[in-house]
Amino acid sequence: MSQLAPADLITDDWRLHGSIYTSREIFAIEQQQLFHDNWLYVGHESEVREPGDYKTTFAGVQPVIVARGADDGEIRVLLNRCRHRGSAVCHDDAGNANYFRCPYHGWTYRNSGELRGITYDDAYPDLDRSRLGLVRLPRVESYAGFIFASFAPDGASLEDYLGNARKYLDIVARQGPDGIRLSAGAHKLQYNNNWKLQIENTIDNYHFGFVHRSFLDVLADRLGQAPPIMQNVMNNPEWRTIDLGNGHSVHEFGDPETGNNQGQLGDLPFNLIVFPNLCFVGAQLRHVLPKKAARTEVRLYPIMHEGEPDDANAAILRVHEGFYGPAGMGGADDIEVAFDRVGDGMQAIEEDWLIMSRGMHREQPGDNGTLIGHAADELPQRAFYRRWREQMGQAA
Amino acid sequence: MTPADFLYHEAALLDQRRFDEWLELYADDALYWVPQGEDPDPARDVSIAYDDRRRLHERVVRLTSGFAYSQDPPSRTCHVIGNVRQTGESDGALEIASAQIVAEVRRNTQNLFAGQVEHRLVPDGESFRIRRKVVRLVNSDVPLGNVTFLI
Repeated sequence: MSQLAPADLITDDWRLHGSIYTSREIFAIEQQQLFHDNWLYVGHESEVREPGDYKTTFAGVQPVIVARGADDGEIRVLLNRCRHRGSAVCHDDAGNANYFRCPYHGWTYRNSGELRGITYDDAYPDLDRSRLGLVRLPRVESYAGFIFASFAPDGASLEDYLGNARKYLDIVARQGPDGIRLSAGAHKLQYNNNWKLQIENTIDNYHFGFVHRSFLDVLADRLGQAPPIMQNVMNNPEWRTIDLGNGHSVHEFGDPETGNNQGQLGDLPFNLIVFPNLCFVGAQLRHVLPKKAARTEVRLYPIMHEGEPDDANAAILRVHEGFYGPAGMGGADDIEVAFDRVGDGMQAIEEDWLIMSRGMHREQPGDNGTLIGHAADELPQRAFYRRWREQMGQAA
Repeated sequence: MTPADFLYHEAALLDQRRFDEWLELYADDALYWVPQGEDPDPARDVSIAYDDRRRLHERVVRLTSGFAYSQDPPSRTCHVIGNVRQTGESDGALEIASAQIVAEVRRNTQNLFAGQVEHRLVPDGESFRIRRKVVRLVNSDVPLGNVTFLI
């Protein structure tokens, strides 16, 4: 790691030090500063609709179970770790269960987390089982159906945390006539580089005409003429980037209610980043899972429309699969260039600074403390790293 | 040509990256499906690929465009086909099941993709055309990287 303190890894003229991506120490500090007290996305209510439903995911690097209480219907987020000797108690991606039973020595927990049974428990005369439930994240709240949890017992409410991003989550939640559901499973991707590269890339329009040149060729073949996406990115004043505050940002394709990227990537009217690791792009919810400084998993959940017939939702899936996922005609090029080749290049550390200043001279103030930029400017990346620097700078 | 010989021929075209000739093996109403997970419904569950003939054509457009970075340099593949047997016949089309292992090399790494494969073959002169191909990968639901070569 460089000798610089975390806050000094980003300069006032928006150069970023490479160790932000490569340092294991920085990764460990991020887990304390970004993936502990913040509100962390863990799931959508449609994934745990019935009492007893659960899904497993990660809060930062920590494995968690998101479970709807079999008895009370309350959504809880529990660490997926037996209090006895540490085994994960739940191994499925999703399911329905009244109990989680540890496979190692048979300790059993209610799906509310409470320790229900210790096998042959006469050998533990002094254990207080009331304190040995699966560890619960102290705060769990939903906004517009999206479930978030925090390891901090106190702090900003979810509504305040989301701030200006709420309006966009509301729009996502209204994509179907009767709402949305994440019922189609998820593409699971992995790459050997830092998680923040996926966040940056999700809301980077500057790269599209370069990394996705082959997809533009496909669109030209499909449409019989050059697709309008890069024209819009470079010249359409209705397409814009917005720093929403609190690390969140959006790229609007025109009106945020009705806009369309016309790029045949999916019909969400914007790309959205909710700090630190939730994204919306194309027709998908994208959950970015940090694993190590140089290892990331990404889950792409196509957003299905409630109240629309199967064939309409199947059409959403087909558009999604055309660009995204491991065999998609676009997403794999991002992995190749924006993550793998960046990883190759950044082995050269003699001059270890990157440039993230594109368009900073033309940012304009908007409503509610927002900043507005051109579509292909690095304003969303600065929105993310401004918050990153602030929170990382508070590291003890 | 026997169905097994036809499957070996398709594998050879893929390994030699003769994509235009490979595409010609597919009927106009062809479906090429790489499902994800156990027993999925393509109308309700996301697939790795669910391509009609048009999208297969687009994949070939992309792979031969010179700008498909995830295939630059291209994957070197070796398709090994085995366990070939006929499992049915309807309207003159043969249902052929096989097992397939693809060794794929890119970026100094070798990956292995194994799976059960189903072909629906329509006799066409001395040969066949493919009306439906399903590749059920055994690793379809683990986190994957770059599967943009044709499997």
